[in-house]
Amino acid sequence: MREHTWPLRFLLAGAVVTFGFAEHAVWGCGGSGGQDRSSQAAATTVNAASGDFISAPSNYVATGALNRSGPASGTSVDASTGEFLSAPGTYLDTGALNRLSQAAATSINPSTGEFLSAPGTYLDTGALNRLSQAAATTVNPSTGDLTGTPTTYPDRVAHDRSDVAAATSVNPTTGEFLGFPSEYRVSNIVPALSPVMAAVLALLLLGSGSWFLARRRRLSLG
Amino acid sequence: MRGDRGTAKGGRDLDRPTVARFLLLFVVYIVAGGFLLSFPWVEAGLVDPWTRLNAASTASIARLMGIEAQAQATQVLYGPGSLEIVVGCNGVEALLILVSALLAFPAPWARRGIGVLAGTVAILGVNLVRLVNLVVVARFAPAWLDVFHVYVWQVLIVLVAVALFLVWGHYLGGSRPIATPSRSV
Repeated sequence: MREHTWPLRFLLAGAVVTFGFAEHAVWGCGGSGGQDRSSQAAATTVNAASGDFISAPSNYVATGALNRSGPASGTSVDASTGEFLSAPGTYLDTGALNRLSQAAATSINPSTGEFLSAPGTYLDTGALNRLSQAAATTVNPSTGDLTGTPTTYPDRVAHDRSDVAAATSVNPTTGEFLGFPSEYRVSNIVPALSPVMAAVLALLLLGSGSWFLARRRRLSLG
Repeated sequence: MRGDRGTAKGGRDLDRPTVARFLLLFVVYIVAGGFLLSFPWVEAGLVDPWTRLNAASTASIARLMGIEAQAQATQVLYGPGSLEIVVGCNGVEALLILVSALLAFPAPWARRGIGVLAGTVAILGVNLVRLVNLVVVARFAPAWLDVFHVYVWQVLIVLVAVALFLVWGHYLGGSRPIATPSRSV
């Protein structure tokens, strides 16, 4: 092997290795792509009289699979005002977070079904503002269908939830969710480098550095 | 130019103490850098402002390309969606690894400084291109977003870092014979 072609070969090998590891590198910012929340919809019910959530799915696929049965049992909605009365102390999404402040600040106009307010900050993985979402989201009070969805939904991810709204309905008599979109798109940015890819980069740099040192040694030895 | 096989037998080419020192320093610099980045005041005073600047720059470039976009803290809002640049998405970690390798390599400090400067511009520049590209893809071809952010850009970031190290090592770091180990460090 001619010495001057070695770095190029090394780079090509690095490309193959990193590409091979890339698909195992989704982390941190969460999963990506379409998610099926139909099971969530089927298993979630709301008591129409009290507004209490009766059940939640055992698995709620957001960034990863998680159990929201705890949050559901602790969450209640004032049936007359539509206001959330309580939220779970911890609400597992990507990480544990407190949505108590969100619950206190969120209210729904019971006659129109319109969201009246949303919390200024909504802690998900990061802080975000869902005021615009609340303002743009309405629920048809007679059918329970969502009639609007925000044009922008600043989560930590980019996604269009218009299809979610169109496909989501709530039985106004029983409060039961009738349907959810089979595809709930959540597209995330993954980091510039995941830990796996960072390790690959470190190994490639270590290999390169060691080779350069060996080469320099050869040159110094003549 | 001599071929690799001519002298690379039984590890005779390796100056083991120098290589070991390079490996050790590399690890030490990465751990120290990671430790430094974990301090809240570093995150608040350096990483977060940098991330916000990334978001603002991405939105500005996207607007120049005709995409209606605006930055909101660390988010880039565009059309029907948004992207958030979180810790790990701003290129700092990739830069830390590259800079650790450059600083650990036994070369004159001035040359290491040149490498660090070039590496900083390259990695952070490429990451900015990555973010703009992801906004464009998310806006116009969202189905391809996974392909780009998982496969294309992670691989490119790694290759840019390795390529820069190889070029630096060839021209500035690795072509000089070792005079004495202490002088070159």
